[in-house]
Amino acid sequence: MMDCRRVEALLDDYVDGCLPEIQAREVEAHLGTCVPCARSEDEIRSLLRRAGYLPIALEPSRDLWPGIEAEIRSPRRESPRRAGSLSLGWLAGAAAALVVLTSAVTLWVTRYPPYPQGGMGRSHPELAFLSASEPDYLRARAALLAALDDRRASLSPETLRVIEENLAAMDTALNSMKAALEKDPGNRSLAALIEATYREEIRLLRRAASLPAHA
Amino acid sequence: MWKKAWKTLAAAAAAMLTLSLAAQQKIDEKRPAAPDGLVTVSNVSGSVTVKGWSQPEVAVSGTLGKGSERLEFEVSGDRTTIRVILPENARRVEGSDLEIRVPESSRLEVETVSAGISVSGLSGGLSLQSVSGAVSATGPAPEVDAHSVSGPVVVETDSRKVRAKSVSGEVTVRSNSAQDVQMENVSGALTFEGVLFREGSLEISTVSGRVEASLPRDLAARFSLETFSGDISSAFGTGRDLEEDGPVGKRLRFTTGSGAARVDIQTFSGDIVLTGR
Amino acid sequence: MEQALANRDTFDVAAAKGGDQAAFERLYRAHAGRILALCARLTGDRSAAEDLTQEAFVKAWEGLPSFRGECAFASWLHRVAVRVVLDEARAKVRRPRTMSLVTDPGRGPGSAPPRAASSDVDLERAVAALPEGARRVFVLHDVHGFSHEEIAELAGLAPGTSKAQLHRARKLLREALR
Repeated sequence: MMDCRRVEALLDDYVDGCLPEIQAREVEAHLGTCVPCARSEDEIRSLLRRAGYLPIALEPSRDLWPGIEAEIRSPRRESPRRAGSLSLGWLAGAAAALVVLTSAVTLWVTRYPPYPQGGMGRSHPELAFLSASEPDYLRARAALLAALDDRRASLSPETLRVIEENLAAMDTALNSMKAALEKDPGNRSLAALIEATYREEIRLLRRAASLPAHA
Repeated sequence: MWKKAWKTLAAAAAAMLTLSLAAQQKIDEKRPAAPDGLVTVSNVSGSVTVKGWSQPEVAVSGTLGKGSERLEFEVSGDRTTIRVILPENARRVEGSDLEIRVPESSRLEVETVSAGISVSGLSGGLSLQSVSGAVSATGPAPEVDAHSVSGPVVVETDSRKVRAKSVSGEVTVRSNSAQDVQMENVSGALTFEGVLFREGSLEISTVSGRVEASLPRDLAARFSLETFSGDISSAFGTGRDLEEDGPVGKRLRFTTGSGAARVDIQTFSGDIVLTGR
Repeated sequence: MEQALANRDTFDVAAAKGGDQAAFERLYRAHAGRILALCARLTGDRSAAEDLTQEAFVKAWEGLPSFRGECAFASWLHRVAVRVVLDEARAKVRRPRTMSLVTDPGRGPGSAPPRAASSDVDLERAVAALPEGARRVFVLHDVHGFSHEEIAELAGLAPGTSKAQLHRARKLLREALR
């Protein structure tokens, strides 16, 4: 049988559910018969309940953002970006490009039809935008894939499988098309098809990130 | 005594409402609705079937899946919302099968994850989105936007404007009043059958899907058919229209008649087959 | 609500990683209240906590490129804030100020009026009066849900010290609240 001093020392772990099974049972047995220790247990539980009710957010007395903004604007604070390196920082960074890009793509899509028109030929300047934007797509895609990783546990296996299979299908398609584009670099129609496929990937990733739990 | 009984009943009912459904539950509800309002439906899994009718009501029947929290069914102004609400923490949630009747001039928006969507008899615009469910629409809707990631998409409305897209599912569009049709996927067959209005446009884009388009023989249109490594077989145009045929792909561009309409088909490796009817 | 918050964060985090300050501002607006509460209780000093909150977000901005989404953004941000608080405490010797979570006796005339932050005045006061180490562990473990492992790692404590501090904190609080 445990004595009160020992139980008092173990009570916190007991209440937190951290005691190994055997010890927990011994504490429990003691608590069943010892009034002062049982009272201690109640006090701890009551304290935790109260702590749980403390507000987890407080209203700042002033808007702190201007101070933050001032600090992050100054050059030495800018988030470091290393061009050309394959580190995750580079890949996952520059997703501001995503914000800019999706609005640009929307603009592009509404002003110009998304599919090559007969007679468009190879002289449309807006298509030059496509080949320049490929690194942006890769970055945006990497950032969204990281975001999808966060959601993994809350999506059903079936949905996750559909998403991953379709992403893989699009990746395979993209690889084939990019290899072909290397053989015919001026092929704007192919570039347009690649861009449309990237767009679908990003659309799918965005959809995946906003699916409800159990989807 | 009655008062007490009512109180107990009310308390029990309230308790039941806050628990997740332990078993499947039948649905049978109706609300009055505007004749040409917007109906939005959201259901993760199971099925969604929507039909238009001449009553000024929205009726929902079917079954709510085990583990679902509840069915939200609210009308506010000319907007009706139908949603299957799932609890945050449930482990296994079963799909709900919703059968919905809406006023035939309603506009409809449906969003699901794995539930199939089937719509008929509506003359308002349709927006249907799923991830792995099959999407199908028939009826007089003037505009349809149907999208599934892996499910097949079938639009057989006589819409002027159609957007039918998938990633790996087959895409099928049949319309006798097509004015602005876009079909798109990465893989899977794409099939178009119908009539393209004067100055209408048909755009089909895929990576490896096989494209089959069946158009009226006397169609007057500008055609642009392009593929990188697929084959083109066209009942329209002539062999002399073949602009390119080599390692960088095939392109066929030609005009029939007054060239008022436009047909643009582009694939990477998928074959293109155009037939006249 | 938590789910909705997490989803909204996802895109803003991705954008902010790439330098989108507007997106980072949105993250600030969404999380500032919690970070302030964390800093205020850790230090027992409400006014200093606002400066620390500001510093925490600046550090978060700098550290974003190395945040890989292996945990939820909110958790990561909380850890950044705790480090800022502990670094600040190490750098300066502070005079403990008690009760400033509930009222601001140190504020002179003309400053913002004191704001009652919480309805459990007694508990807030008792927490603010705890010795520093015990207060930190109590706030992190029992109010904000950090694990002993995380606390030990963040605060540079030996294993077991975190538990000992928690035991002490709870004991002192129980006595204060009797």
